[in-house]
Amino acid sequence: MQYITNRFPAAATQAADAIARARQQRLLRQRRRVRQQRLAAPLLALLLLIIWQLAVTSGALSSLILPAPLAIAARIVDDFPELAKHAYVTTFEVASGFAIAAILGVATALAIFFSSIFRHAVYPLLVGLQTVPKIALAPLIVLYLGYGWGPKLFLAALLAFFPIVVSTVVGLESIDQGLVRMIASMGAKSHQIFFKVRLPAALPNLFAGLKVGISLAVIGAVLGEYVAAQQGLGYLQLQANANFDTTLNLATVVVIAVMGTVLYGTIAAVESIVTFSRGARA
Amino acid sequence: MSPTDPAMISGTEPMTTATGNMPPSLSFKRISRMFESREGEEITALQDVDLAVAKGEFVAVVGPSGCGKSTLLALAAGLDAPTAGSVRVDGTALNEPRRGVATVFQNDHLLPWRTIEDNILLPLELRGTIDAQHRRAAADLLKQVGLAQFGRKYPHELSGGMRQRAAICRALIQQPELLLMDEPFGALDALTREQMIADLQTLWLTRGNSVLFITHGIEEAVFLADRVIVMSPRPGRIVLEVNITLPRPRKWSAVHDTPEFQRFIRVIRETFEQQGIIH
Repeated sequence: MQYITNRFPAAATQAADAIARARQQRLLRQRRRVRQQRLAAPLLALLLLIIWQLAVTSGALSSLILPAPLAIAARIVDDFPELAKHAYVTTFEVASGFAIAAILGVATALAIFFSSIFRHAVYPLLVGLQTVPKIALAPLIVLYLGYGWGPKLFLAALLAFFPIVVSTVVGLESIDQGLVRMIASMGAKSHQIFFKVRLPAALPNLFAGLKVGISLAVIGAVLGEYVAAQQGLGYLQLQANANFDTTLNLATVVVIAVMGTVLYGTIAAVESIVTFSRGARA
Repeated sequence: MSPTDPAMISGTEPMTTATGNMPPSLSFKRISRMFESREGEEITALQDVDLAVAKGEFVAVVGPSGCGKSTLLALAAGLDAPTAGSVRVDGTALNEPRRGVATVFQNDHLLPWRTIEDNILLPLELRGTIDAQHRRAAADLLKQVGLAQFGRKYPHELSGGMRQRAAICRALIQQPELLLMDEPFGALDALTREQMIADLQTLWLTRGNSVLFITHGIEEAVFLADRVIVMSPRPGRIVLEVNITLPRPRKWSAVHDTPEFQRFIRVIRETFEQQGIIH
């Protein structure tokens, strides 16, 4: 560029203009593509909802069997206080169960990582137990723990526990040994190696486990409410079912989905704060 | 090579270049290091290695892959212990990583979640809290290696050569009396490597610390070092020591085609050929 500019100023400006124009066009095309990609999923969802709505309003589907989306939305608005009351109960169960699972899960993962005896004794059992359909234990757990908070918290925690343990162990183990050698060569003590290198390197895996865990905790809590409860979204859904109230039933499903999404988003937000501040901290 | 040539001393006798009563910066006394393979066989990585690095001396070790030169460096860093013999730093036996000794590895090993500046400050952070003076020292070092604008960037935003420069800063901020370098430019492209070699010479000349430099590049060893140690294939032994008498500061373009430089290269190549490393 410099070479051309010195000898042929006019040609150089023209060439520079052409390059700038081409770049701008490329950028615009790229931006348009990104916008299209971002809109693809919401548009498809909207399309499916419209088909659903038309199928019901045209009479092809009975609204008793499958109420229309707008009817469900209207029901959520009408019954908002009732739905909110039960959602509050379920959210509490999910959050508490998940908190228990997170604390015990990370503690178990650390024990597995640091103690080879613990690892050989416990890790194979944990992996084996993961194949047991824990949902099938729900009736038994109610039998043992009664009808109160117990079985809901237990099931939420039980389901969330396994992915948290396994992801955290994998994260701690998959570290680049070169990083450990590097900090060891600086004379780092073992607690410094852990907090400066091992733990931060494991955080992406840890958060992946927490995100799977929170989704499973929702399933666990609702499951507990299905088996035996006097409140909560699972209970409300069973009531709706008994009354052939499919609209309320589906409204509850929507609320459960929204609750799950919000909780997942909360974990993702914490992750981005932690990952960001790790870099920005002094 | 003639035995009267003062520039070359062949054989495995230890050469003591330490001046007066000062203990050498680093010394290996009859070091052997055995490993057990997965099949239970004993592998001798290093055998009877005697080597001393005098204060302020730049010693390069060249040898084929698997000759135990990285093991030698791990021993000097206190990351590994010899099966027989002793390693001494400043005259005292070494059994764990020591202050005053800093290591640069083949990979930069920068922590991806820390900025370049915070990566460089890591060794100081392990010893206490970071203050403004430390930050100024880091900024100074970054300026010296041409990374003044990159302190707040993350490693993935830098090229391989820039990251290795940052890794060198992280070693230098410890103000090491002994700098260990394990094929530090091995992962870089040829042009970047040449630039880095020249910059390393400048950094070393202004500091005057001792260096143990592990490489498989004969030319970079001769260009940089006061003394080049040639090792045999496994079991690694010292088969040749060459004093590089070229004046400093050396400039690649001025030095490379001189008969002296080419003679050093030839002597080392001939040893490699005798050892069956190259044919």
